[in-house]
Order: sequence, then structure tokens, then C-alpha cells
Amino acid sequence: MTEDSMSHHDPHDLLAAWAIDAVDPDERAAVERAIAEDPALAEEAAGFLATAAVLGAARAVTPPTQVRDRVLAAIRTDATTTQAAATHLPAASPGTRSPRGRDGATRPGSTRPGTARSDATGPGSRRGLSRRLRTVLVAAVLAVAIALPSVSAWQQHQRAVQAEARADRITALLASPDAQLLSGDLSSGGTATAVVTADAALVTAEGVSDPGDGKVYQLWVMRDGVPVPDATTGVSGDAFQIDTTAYRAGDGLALTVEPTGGSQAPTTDPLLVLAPTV
Amino acid sequence: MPVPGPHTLADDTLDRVAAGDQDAFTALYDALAPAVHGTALAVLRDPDHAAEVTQEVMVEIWRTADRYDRRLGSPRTWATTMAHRRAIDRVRSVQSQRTRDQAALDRDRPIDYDHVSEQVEGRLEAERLRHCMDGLTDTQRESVTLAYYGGLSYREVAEDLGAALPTIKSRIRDGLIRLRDCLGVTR
Repeated sequence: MTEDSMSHHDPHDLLAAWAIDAVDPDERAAVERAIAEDPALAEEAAGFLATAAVLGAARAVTPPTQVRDRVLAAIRTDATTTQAAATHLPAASPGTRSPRGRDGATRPGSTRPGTARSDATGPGSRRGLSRRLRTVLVAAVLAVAIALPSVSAWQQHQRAVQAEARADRITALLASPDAQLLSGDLSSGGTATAVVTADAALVTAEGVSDPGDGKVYQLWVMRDGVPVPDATTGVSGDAFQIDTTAYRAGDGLALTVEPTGGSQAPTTDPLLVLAPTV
Repeated sequence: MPVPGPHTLADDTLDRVAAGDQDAFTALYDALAPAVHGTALAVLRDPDHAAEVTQEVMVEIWRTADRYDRRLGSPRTWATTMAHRRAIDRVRSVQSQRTRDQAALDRDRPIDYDHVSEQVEGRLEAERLRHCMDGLTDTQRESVTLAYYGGLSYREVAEDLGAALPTIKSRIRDGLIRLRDCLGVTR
């Protein structure tokens, strides 16, 4: 029996064996790499997988009731954990309408997932964000949004309302199957986190310095290496949030400091550039 | 899928599950768990092992629904593929010897496609599959069966049958192509 190594043959030959899990781990990895790079191969793989699925599904038998009970209990625990994380927010000042108690990530019906666009990158699925990560992020954003220096009850109230709206937006963005999370440090201090989807981006920064009088932070959508001007923002406390619908899958994002009103082209070096993995 | 069952899933069920909708997941569980459990049971033959795999797979579906890629197939295909893969992993890690013994038994005992199924769609599908399996050559059917239900890799199948590797790869490939065309599976 001669051993033939994967490097000597075509993943195409192994596609059917791969679909019924009859290959070794190295071969499996090689086939999956090939599928990720070749749409025609992916199409064929899908046909084999659907065929293999019939071999299993034709033997369908309802599992014991205990299995259903245990599974549903496990997902409830998941959701409860999520809810606990979402409600674990710092106490807001008295008189503030706090968003506490909102279930940031798993309120049924609270989000309308965006439609995943097929991108040109072939069938390799872009990893969505885990539900836990979403929850943590939403909770963090809410915490930042409501942990603001006390200005006036009215402003506080306004901010809490805005924070809720922002949290809703984040949740909606994160529900999109193609959502990606990017994050990096600003060279001037602080951290920015961006949630990007096929057609929107939301950048939340924390621990940033005030850009100074007459200056704002400005967000740029980097398309084919060219910065497209987008929204500007001042800083509330040490945090800001900018969102844009000018973003498209594959674009990068950059932040600069610009004169109030924003610029048409960057006048300073970027403090941060975020590039999604495509 | 060839035979839509009573549990036809709404197109957006998985999207709703990805967004954390527990009711949607319950519907998804009821629709997919029989195929998942049946797959695990067909490979593992041990009800306790199969129940564990079913539980793992269904919880995994809840946790990774946001990564499901519809371009790679229907939710049922996704779930069943996951179940088969986990069952095979278990066979290879825990029970490889037993499986080899089992595979030897399987060769002498045709797969029972009349496996008691509580689901009408399962019976219809089993009927279709039996019909399509009959359209394979004996050697194709043997290789596909040893691999899918017996948990053998194509190398082990080759060893078991004393055949060359390329021969077995072709038998599996040609067998699956015939099945695919006979079942009318497109994705």
C-alpha cells in the first residue's frame, strides 16, 4: 500500500470523501482551503454535503425528551448570562433614566438582522461575532454612554436616551451575519472599536483626549486607499461615537483630528487606521 | 430539500436564532433534531452517545447560528453535517476498535433503511434513499456505506477491502454523484 500525500493530488478527488468525513485531518484542512478559494469547487461541495445529509436525515428519529429539555435549558442559561451581562452596568446618577434592565443582545424581535450580502471573496464565511462578545460590547458602550460627568438632569436624560438609541443601533448592526469587530489604539491615547457590516460602520472610542478648542475628531472611510470624508464629532467626557452609512464592505476606517466642521481631506496624520479582514 | 416535511422552516428562522430568539430556536430544534439524532445514531449506534452528540450539536447551532453560511447549504444540511462530523470524531477517538468490528459486521449485514422513524418525512426520505441506493453498483454502495455509516476513512475502507486508494476515492465520488443526481439534490 503506497501512501500518497495530499500535495500530490487534487482536492477535487477527495471532495466526496471529505463530504462524508472519510478523510484525515490534514486532507480535511486541504480540501477546505481549496473550497474557500474556488467557487466552482464550493458549489460541488455543497451538492455533496446536501447528498450526505440525506444519508443521515433519512434515518431521522426523534431524540429523547430529556435531550430537548437539556438543550432548551442550556440556551436559556446562555440567554440569562447575556441578560446579566447587559444589565451589569454602573449605576447612573439619580434622576437619570438609566437603560439598565434592557436586554442588550437577545431581546427576541428587538433586532432585524441585516441581509448578508454575498461578497466577492468566495464561500469562505466571514466569522460573525459571538453573542457573548456582542453583549459585552453593548454593555460597555452603554456603560460609557451613561457614565458621564453630571451636567444637568436634562442633558443626562438626553444622553441616556441617545445612549439607548446608540445601543439599539449597535445591537442591530451586530445582528448582521457579516458584522465584524475591529479595534485599535489611537496614537493620541484611548481605544476605538468599530463594528462594520456590508453597508454601515459604527465607531466607539473610549479614554480619548479632548481634541482641543476648535477641533473635532473626524472619521474617514478609506476606499481603495483614498480617504472619503465622513462625520465629525466632539468628545463627551472621554468618549465619542461616530456612525456612517457611507461604509461598504472592504473599506477601511481612519480617525484624524480636524478643525471644527471637518475637512474634505485629512489635514493631520491619522491617529488610527482600521482595516477589516475580507 | 427533496421532501419538505411538516416542519418546514421559515426562511428567516436561522436569522432570528442568530439574533437570540429562543422561540425561533425551539422551532428550529423541533425541525432539525430528528435528522441530527438519526445521523448520530446511525453512526454511533449507541443511544446515549447519540443523545450526547445531538445535545452538543443543537447547542452549537444556537451559539453559532450567526456563522451559518447559507451558500453552503440548507440549515438541515448544516446541522446534519455537524452531527455526522461529531459522531465520526467520537467513533475515531473513543471507539475505533469497536467501529472496525462493527464495520466488519456491516459488510455482512445490509443497512436497515427501514429504521423505525417517527417522522413521515423520514419514512419518505428513507424510501427515496433506498431507491437511489439501489441504483449504485455494489462496490460503490459498500464504500459509501462503510465510510458514512461505519465511520471508516477512505484509507481504512481501502485497507478493509484490499483495494487501491484511487479506486476507493472514485467509488465514493461516483457513488455520491449517482445518489446526488437520483435524489435530485441541488445544494
